[in-house]
Amino acid sequence: MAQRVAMESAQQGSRIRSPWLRQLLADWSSDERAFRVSWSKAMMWIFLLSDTFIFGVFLTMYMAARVSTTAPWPDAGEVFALYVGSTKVPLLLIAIMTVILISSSGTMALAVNYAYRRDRAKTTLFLLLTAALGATFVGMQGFEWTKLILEGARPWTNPWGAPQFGAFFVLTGFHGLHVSVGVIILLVVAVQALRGTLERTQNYQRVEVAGLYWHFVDLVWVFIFAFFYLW
Amino acid sequence: MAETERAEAQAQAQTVAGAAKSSGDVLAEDHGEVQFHPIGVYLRVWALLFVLSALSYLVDIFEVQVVLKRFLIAAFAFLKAGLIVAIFMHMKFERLSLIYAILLPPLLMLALVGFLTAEGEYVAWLRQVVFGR
Repeated sequence: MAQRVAMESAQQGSRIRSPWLRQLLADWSSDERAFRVSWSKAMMWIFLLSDTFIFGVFLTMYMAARVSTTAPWPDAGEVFALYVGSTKVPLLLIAIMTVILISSSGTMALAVNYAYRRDRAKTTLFLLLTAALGATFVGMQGFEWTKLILEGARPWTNPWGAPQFGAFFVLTGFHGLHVSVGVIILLVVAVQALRGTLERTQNYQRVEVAGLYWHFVDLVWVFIFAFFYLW
Repeated sequence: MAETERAEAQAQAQTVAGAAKSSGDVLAEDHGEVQFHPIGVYLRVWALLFVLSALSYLVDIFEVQVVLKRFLIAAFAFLKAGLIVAIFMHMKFERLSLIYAILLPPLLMLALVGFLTAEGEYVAWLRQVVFGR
């Protein structure tokens, strides 16, 4: 043990003065790997785990607020209905957004698959398609927010019932932020795939890691769709 | 038995490969982990996600009794989540150490949900009693 620490410390070089810090670094970098995946993938998973807790807490907060209110809860089917011609279709906008996000998850899965086959053209194509679907989703969310705000909905009040309905803005706002960041990541990776950067650096796994993030965004939407819009 | 042996051999090969590489050689790490799956698997899961979404939408439209409706919606949501995590996010093909590290901690949320349901119902009761509405 002492020998190993000494050896590791020597490898760390003399830049680190503190013996405690040197020991700490030696212990944590002593070639012991819990996860036999690349660092980028392990770190993305750990980030997603922390993000799971963020969205989990938001959804639980919404649940607690909804349980505690005595005012009638607004009917989401009515609030998010759209007119097709003169017929009112409940929750139409949300249904379309769900279809778009699930489609983008499918195209992302194909992009990852083609990345592993080292198919540069198809990887780029499906990454761009995914980004386009994601951007469409954010656009529709912008439309939804605008519509609701014009109808008088605010985070603290709304014309339809319990003011706790304002949790909508936290849930969809944070999710929309994630989608927007995802679109940017996808565009960056698509450009790297197109220019052959991924090929040169043997780093096609970057597509998979971006895919993990994107699928997670879809995963969060599954729960928002179920527990906020449909509940 | 053959399955375990294969997994062990694979683990050993990866360890050897890992030891051979200089530490910090991150880029080289994406060799040896290439996973080829037929595209059909993804297409089937994709279709299944559409079907499950459509079903939960239909449950909402046809006014099913509220308990059954919520049960079905939650069931469809967790099915969809399982499909996305297992297939699209490749969790099914990862090693158990990663699976446990990622999938077990979120179960803690159940405790929070339990506490806050009790708390929320208590607050609702207080509002009834104190404000009379």
